[in-house]
Amino acid sequence: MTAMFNTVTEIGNLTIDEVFGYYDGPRLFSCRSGDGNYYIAIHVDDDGDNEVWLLAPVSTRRLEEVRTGRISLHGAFRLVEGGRVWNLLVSSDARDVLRYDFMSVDSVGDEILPSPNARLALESRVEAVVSTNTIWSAIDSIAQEAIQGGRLPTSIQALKSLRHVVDISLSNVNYPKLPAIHIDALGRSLTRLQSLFDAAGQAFFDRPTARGAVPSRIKDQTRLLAIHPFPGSFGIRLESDNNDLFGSDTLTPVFESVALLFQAGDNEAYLLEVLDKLGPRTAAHYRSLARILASARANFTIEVGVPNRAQSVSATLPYDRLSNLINILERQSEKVVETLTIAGELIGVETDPIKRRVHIKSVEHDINCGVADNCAHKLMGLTIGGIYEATFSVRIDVIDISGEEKVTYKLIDIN
Amino acid sequence: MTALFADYLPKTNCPPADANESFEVVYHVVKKPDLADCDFRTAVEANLHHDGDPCQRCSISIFTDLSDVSKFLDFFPYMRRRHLAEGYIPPAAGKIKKLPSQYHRIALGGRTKTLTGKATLR
Repeated sequence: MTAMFNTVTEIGNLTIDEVFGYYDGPRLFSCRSGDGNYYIAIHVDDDGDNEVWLLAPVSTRRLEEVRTGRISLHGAFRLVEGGRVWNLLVSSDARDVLRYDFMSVDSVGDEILPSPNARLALESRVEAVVSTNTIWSAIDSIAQEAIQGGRLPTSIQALKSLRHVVDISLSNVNYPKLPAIHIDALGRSLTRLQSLFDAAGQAFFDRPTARGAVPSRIKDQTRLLAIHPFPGSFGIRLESDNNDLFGSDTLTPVFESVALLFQAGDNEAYLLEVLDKLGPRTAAHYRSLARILASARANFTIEVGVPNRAQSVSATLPYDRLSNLINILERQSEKVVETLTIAGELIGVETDPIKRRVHIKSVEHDINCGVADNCAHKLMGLTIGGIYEATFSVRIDVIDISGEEKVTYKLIDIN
Repeated sequence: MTALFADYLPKTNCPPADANESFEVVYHVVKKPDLADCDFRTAVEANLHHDGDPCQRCSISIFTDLSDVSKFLDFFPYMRRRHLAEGYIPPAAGKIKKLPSQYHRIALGGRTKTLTGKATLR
């Protein structure tokens, strides 16, 4: 391994682990301190004589997520674990660290961070690591130490059971120490969480569509079992009930993506990045879950452990951030909609601006819906009984009380 | 034709056997619109990265495709303040080798001063 920066007292000597970006020298790489901690280092500025570098402390798990592109480099810094990054001023010639600061990532401007498009795409190296006896024995010893109240950490439980493990806990913001929660809030949260995993499963195994129900073959894989409650505000352990159809490795991206969704919190850019992969149905159920938690005045914590990963992912949605999260998700629901184009017979049309609607029927669809303002002029001259190609936006919402999905179509083009 | 390589190149496997002579248009990021020798200094000449790969230290990084420059800038936004020199490597003046990287990277092994061209603002 290659030494990179001269010593920063609080970190120790850093040696390069893997170079991701090289241009007349390493400019983006992972590195490791003498005490075994990993960092992602990136060159973000220079004035000719000196260079500015940012170092984000990362767990081995987060490092893997960045290496494999599951998390963008922007996300790796903006959502750094612990919320702080090292900012180093380094002389260009001697690599001396002239000044350093462990600063809040909120102080780092977006203009110096990699764009959200900048993403690595390297092969995961986790499997090779986890397969060694050394790591397994280390995990056993960690497990022994980590057992608290009979509950193993989700990562350890996932390794032992080869199932995906999810711990959730809810606490009422008015009574944070009370080990109880209203059962209607708990029930709705659990069912919405299940729907969230179902929708995420559909995005990965099928297609992230808002139309039609999630196929039962997918729901069979993403179904969760309630295993036991655990002490805390009110905690409950869930495990996947997946059989061998997809295998646990196939299911892992689903659980990891849902975990990332919670980890994104109300960071809009990162949240939209995660939801972009998970699709509008997942977003709708997440929106509904956030509303249920807000209504219950609940703080929500989730920890996800998956087989073949040594560390869990945990995230907290504090009650006081839910309002902002819901606003972001509402805005997102207006912007990210699915479209559907069909060829069908015009059954009816109402051009009155107050009641503007169209009714179009094809072999597979019978859609009676509103009309987008910028498409209103196209209604003139349409002939009842004529065959038209019509394009609709498709928006999905979830009714909080029942969990029922409501799909709304709007005509956006017709020819 | 045989390239005239700088004296300081390692005696073995440098340039690597799979590096090619090239006539391609290449691009190199420079600090100012007016080119200077210092824009094309290798790590050896600049006395940098002593622990790096010995042959790689005798090279400079270049692009052969402008779309790769765009990807590169996504990773390193501060480079947008710099300029892009465009030129070509005459026969026997150097060799290039494509190396794996997230943005396309090509290292030039050899006497880089022969890279000629004009810096253009992009």
